[in-house]
Amino acid sequence: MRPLPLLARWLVAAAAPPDDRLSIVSDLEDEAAAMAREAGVAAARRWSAMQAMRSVPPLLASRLSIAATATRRASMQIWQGWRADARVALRRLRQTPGFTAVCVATLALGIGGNTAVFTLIDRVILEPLPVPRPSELYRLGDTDACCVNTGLEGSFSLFSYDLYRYLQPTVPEFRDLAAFQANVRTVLLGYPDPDAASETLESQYVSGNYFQMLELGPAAGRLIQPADDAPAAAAVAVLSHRAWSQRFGARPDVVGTAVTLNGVPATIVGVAPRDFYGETLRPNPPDVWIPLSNEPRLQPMARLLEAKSSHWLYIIGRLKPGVDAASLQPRLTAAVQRWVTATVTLSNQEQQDVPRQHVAVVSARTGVSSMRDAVAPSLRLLQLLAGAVLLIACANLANLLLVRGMGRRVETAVRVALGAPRSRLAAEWLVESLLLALAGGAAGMAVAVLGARAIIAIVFRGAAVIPIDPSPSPLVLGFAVAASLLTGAVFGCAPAWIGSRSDPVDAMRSGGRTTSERGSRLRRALLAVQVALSLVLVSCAGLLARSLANLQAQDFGFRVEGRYAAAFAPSIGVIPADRLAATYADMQQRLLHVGGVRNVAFSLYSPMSGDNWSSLITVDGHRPDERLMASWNRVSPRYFDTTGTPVVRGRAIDERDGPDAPLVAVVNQRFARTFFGNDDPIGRHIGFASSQGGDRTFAIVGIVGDVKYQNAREPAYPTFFLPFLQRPRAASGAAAPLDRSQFPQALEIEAAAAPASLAGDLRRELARVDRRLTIRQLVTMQDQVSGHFNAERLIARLAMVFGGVALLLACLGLYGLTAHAVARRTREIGIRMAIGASRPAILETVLRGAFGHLALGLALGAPAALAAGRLLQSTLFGVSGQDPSVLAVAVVLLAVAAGVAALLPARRASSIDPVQALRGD
Amino acid sequence: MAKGDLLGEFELYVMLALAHLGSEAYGAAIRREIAQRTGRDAVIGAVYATLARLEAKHLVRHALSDPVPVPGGRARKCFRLTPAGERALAESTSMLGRMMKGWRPRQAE
Repeated sequence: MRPLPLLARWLVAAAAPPDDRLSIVSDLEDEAAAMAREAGVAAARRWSAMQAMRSVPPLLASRLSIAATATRRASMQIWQGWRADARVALRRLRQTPGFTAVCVATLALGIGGNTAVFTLIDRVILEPLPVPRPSELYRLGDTDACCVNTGLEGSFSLFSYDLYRYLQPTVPEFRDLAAFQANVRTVLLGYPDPDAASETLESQYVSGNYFQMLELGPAAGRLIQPADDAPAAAAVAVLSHRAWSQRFGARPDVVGTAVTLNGVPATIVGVAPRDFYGETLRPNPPDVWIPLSNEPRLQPMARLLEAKSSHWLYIIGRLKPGVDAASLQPRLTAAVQRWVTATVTLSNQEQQDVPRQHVAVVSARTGVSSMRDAVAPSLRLLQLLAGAVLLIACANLANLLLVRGMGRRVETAVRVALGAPRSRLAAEWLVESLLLALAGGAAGMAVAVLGARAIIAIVFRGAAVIPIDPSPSPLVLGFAVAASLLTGAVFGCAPAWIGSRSDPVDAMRSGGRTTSERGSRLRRALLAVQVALSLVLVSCAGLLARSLANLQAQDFGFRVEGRYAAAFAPSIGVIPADRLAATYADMQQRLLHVGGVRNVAFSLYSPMSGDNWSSLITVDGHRPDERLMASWNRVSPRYFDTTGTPVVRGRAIDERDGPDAPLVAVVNQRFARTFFGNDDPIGRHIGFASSQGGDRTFAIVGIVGDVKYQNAREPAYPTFFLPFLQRPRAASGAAAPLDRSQFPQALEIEAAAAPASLAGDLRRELARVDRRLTIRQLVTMQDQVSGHFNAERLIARLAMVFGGVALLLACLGLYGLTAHAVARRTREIGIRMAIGASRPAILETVLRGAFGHLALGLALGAPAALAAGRLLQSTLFGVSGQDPSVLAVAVVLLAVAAGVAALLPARRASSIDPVQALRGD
Repeated sequence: MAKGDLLGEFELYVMLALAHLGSEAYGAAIRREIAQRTGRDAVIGAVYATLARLEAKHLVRHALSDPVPVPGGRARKCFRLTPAGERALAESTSMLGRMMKGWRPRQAE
């Protein structure tokens, strides 16, 4: 029997570091043998076994620490290797500042553009509401139906207060179901002290459980609670944090202040949290939230709360966890249909529509998405454009890096010949590319921040408050860094790989003047891609610019020069019925006397303000159960004159159309064509489908030209105009009570040369009529119209910027390629000139080569541009996506620019001194 | 010896054993020396682990004896103190001596 058991030997051998294995095992053997001699084999075996077992822990520990030290040393070496590479790379980059600058600038534009667009997409589309667990929020209804609807909606998105209360108990799966006004309206905030100035705030009515549903805590005071929404509760209001800071100086004593809202006493009870802008992303978010129960008191003309069939509320609720939102849809749909049948008086036509009424339940994680939906397609388009620019930038970068690689062939060859491993060289170049890419990414961040700010400023132009924070989020920063690293890695690898493959002998022999076929072909392919993409971008930019120009220059049907528009503060609703006629006449008289004013009028809404009122109507000669829909507006005397709307036949609304005069209406040409065909509408009667009995129809007394009020891309809607003071009479002869449509919301002014004080003068005169009357937002009609096209203008401008950048990059690429070709063929050109070629001939040769590349790119790009145009078709106005003239202009533009770019090196080629060329090597 | 780089107890024993053994010694000899002098059975694995640590601190070094003529045979390690190791040993032991001066272990009662 052996003195050293096999197991012991194996244990120790396994645990020991390889270097010590033999030593330890030998030592153990020796000692075991010695012990066997002294104390016998059995004792020796026992002792060896014990030694082996107790040796395992220290040996393993020793091994681990050796391994750790080795790893540390190895990673230190790797780290220092990279640092050395980085140092070398930085030095190289500093030595060629022009090259470095161009690379960094190229990348900065490409990455910056993409990051800017991505920032916006993150903030506008992806960012959830600043409330706890936003994914629990769901909205009833999926359309943007703002702002007040009567009748059936199909997909119910707006709800009346009555309908809201009806639906609440049918869905107990919602922990809280809150309702809130769909839009934001101004409210006049006053103070008990009659001398204190009042101000207008944007306000929104919300249900008592609104803040409870959102699970928000106040920044000061308290938030609206269910108890505040009771009919008899005292009026309270909650300020937004922004309003509190900017309008009230963030004073803590604002909480508890007694104020008046539209003349009604109320108390400010608290301030909302800092980041909360409401549940909808919009310019001009609410400054103050008011419980729903106060609406009838504050808006006596509207009293929407009590109107069972006026749908003006959006509904959002917090769903209990584990509930499937879609499963609630059938129940809600059935409930709405029951409510409609029981509550609304339906025409025969509408009866048939009842089964179509339904309620969709959609996620409200990002809140109500009306603005998002409007802006999202533009942002996606921007993403594509920015992506194209990034591609071009990357192609440019690759080209530049390849050129640099070629330029180093001699150096590379020498190093390879001296024994440098190719992987080492490749690694060095890769580090250089990564450094360039990171620098480009950093510069790109600056471009991104500025770009995002600029874009937001344009999108929200004219807004007093911009609720989007344009600084990039960590997600966006990460995106930018990842994009730059990826770019650097991908486009640094190719040149590195190609360069390290160069045959040293070949390189040294020709002095680095011949390029390998492979590199040259890759460069030409890259250039063709660049040219093609540039053509697409320039062509798209041209299409969008043309479309914008068409939109803005079109004839809207009214005169824009010398016209102004303003909005009345809602306090106008305080004028009592018996003083209405006198007040309106007084207003027009006084305002006419303001300096510079030639004409004054008011209406419910002015042209191209984006507003539109429409209703179901009855028309003479049409069956009563036909569903006839038309837009309508109430206008004061001199309205058509002031807005420059031509009166085609008959007369305009004027002073004789008072409350006791026969009911009249004026229609536009589209209305006449739609409902009366070729017949003369003058003298015929129309009326609202909802009025019943008595003298309720209006006689048509005039026809005016078609004017666009809401949608710039479609022809004007059929519209009829009513005087402010006329109201259908009941059968008994009593006039119907005033409704809110009899109070103007818009003021129109025609002024020859408006003084800067126009707004102030107008306000002063209005105050003389009634202290509570005032206007806000006086703008020129031109601005009102232009403001309509903010999004289109943004897209067109950005497309032009991107197109310009693409063009520049493509030219840089062509310049580089041509210059390099010339440098490469210097000796050949020298020889040619020596044996008699003329300078123009050389010029022509070089240019022909350059144009060859250009032509290839254009041939690739033209069909792509046409395809892009087809994609854009839906956003274009007045121009076809495949308009050949736009494409032709783009081609010419590219050709000219490229021609200039190629001309410089070509001229240099033609002025080569043949002697120098042959001598130099 | 760097400041703060005190020798551990077992490290001291291993180095003392090497000092006693004079010239080079195999790990087995070191182990036996410690076992005989202290009366406690030292573990061969611990000895080797300590020797590796001491070698990393450049206090001992090893030489390889002639490779054993068997397949895969590696040379056997043979250790000795380096001059730095001897200095460290002298310093450590004198420090210990100074610490111990005037102290007597209490007799167990």
